[in-house]
Amino acid sequence: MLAALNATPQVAFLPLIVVWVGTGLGERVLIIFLLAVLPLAINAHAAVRTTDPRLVKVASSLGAGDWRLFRTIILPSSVPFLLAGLRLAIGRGMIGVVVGEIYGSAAGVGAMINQAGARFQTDKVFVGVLTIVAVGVILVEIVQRIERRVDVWRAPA
Amino acid sequence: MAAGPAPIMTDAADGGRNSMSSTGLMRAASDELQMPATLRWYLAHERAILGTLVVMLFLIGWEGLERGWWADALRPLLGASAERLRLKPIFISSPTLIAAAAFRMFFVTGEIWRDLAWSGVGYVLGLGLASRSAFRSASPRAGIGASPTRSNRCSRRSTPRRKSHSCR
Repeated sequence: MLAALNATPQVAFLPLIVVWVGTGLGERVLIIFLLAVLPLAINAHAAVRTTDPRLVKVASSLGAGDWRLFRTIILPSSVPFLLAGLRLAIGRGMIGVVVGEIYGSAAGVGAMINQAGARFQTDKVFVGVLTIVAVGVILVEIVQRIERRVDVWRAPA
Repeated sequence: MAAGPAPIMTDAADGGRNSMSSTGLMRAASDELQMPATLRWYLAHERAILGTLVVMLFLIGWEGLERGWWADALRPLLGASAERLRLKPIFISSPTLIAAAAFRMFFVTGEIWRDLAWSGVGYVLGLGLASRSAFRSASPRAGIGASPTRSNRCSRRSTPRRKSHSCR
């Protein structure tokens, strides 16, 4: 199911989304959701699958509840996968912002790029693009810092 | 038979296989100390220097295309065809024009802040919803996170009490 969805160009759903929810915040949130959910879901599933089952079994046999099992075993072993998925999702979400706003929005950086392009204001187009690049780089850097902080216990490969 | 002291492995003795031998390290350290300070500073920051240089060259090349520097410089060699190297600003802007527009949009008119805020709201909501959905979809696979379902309970083979009353 996830593989089939991943092979689908989610941007192609944009006309349908506009028909369903109209243009505005809902349309942008939905297209960003569609683009970002797959890398996150695929990585989250992989993360859960690669958790050492012996650890889960030991913790369960010692009486750990679901929440404790998650907090002490599943989450620490899943963090690299989850953060790698988040890094991918950040980039795809940026694509969603621009595409969603170009297609049907009067405000936002994507709309500004679209309007400036229509008026041949190439300097403004570049400002918009570079702003999105800068925001993306900052967000990925934040995720990498979090990754270094929470993954410090893992032995280097 | 008593083992004698281990022989000191030199570069020649190990056939150069171990490039990090103590002799090699000492030689490298002494070579480094004999270098001029400028060269040592360059080697320490080589990646940053070369990266900056490439970006600067790219920006200068771009600026020259828009301002016609290369067309003017190459006209004696290429003649009228050098005009192809002069690009109109509506097709490709220049780094200085972009910097000026960015300054105007961020600090003079402030028009981009409203657009950034508008885009940011959608982005945060979409990404937050995606993270939540992805995590919720993965959680039942391990029997954690979400509220226990029939399949979760049945997958926990280590708890026979639960298995006995609900997984038949």
